[in-house]
Amino acid sequence: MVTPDLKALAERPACYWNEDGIPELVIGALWIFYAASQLAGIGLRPGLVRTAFWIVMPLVWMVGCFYFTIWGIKRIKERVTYPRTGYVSYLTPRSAWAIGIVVSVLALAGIIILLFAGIGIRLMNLLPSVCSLLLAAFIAFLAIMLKTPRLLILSGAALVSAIGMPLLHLGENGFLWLWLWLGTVSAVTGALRLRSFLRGHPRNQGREA
Amino acid sequence: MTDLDRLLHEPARLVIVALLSGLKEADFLYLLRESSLTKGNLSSHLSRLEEAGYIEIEKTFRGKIPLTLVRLTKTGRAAFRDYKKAINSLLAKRTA
Repeated sequence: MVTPDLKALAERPACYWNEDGIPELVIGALWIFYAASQLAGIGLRPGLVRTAFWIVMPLVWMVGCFYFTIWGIKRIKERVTYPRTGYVSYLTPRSAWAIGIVVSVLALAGIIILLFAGIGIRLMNLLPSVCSLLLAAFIAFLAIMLKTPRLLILSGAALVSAIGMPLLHLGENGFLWLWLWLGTVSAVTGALRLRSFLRGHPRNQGREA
Repeated sequence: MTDLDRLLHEPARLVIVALLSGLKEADFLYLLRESSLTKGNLSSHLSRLEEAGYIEIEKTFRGKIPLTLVRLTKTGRAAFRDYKKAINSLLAKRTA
């Protein structure tokens, strides 16, 4: 009797989340929106509008990041993915886990900023590059963990920007171009994946028994 | 061999339970696609698992489309955990 690979089977639902390309598309769109809004904010003349913009924008971004992304992806999946390949609902991570992840990310960000600020203001210009490098490593790790090789394209794009930003002397505006660049790559790879997913899974392929 | 749960020690049922172990719930279509079983086969295995109290089956509708939701019960999760422990210790004994 052949015993199924239990570990691989238990990991399959996690891989299913990325199968349709929708998460990359939505996250990519959100990054583009963020970069575009920041660019618009920089262009505003000093005054009430500019002040209001910089008060409202971080709030919009935080809500968008933590709420809209997951909500938006789920709503799109309900219409596009679940009728084609089946519905799943994921186990909610333990709150201690979620808090641990958020605290770790914030701590890492804080350490990097303090480290660069301590070394000198000139090196602060290298911060977007370093963050891009870390992001490239993190996305490559995700690609391996989720068995999603196309994420390596995004990881490669982050690596290219890590190398390219100091060469182009983008300075502290590097972050804006980083999100714009990565958002575009993510949205394009997500859209291409979604297109092939839709072609491979016609809508009334196998609805219920 | 006697430690192994006979109900779970059947590849098709083990696949179903392993798939559900990483999820809160899934529908029939997802299990059908991921397990590569036929509709009849999947239905019969789901019934066996439901009789044993390892899974819960909820028949509902999404709009006008029937939706069969399947979720692992606490008993089912515990049984799967015990099964993994038992099979791992068996394999460890064999390789030792």
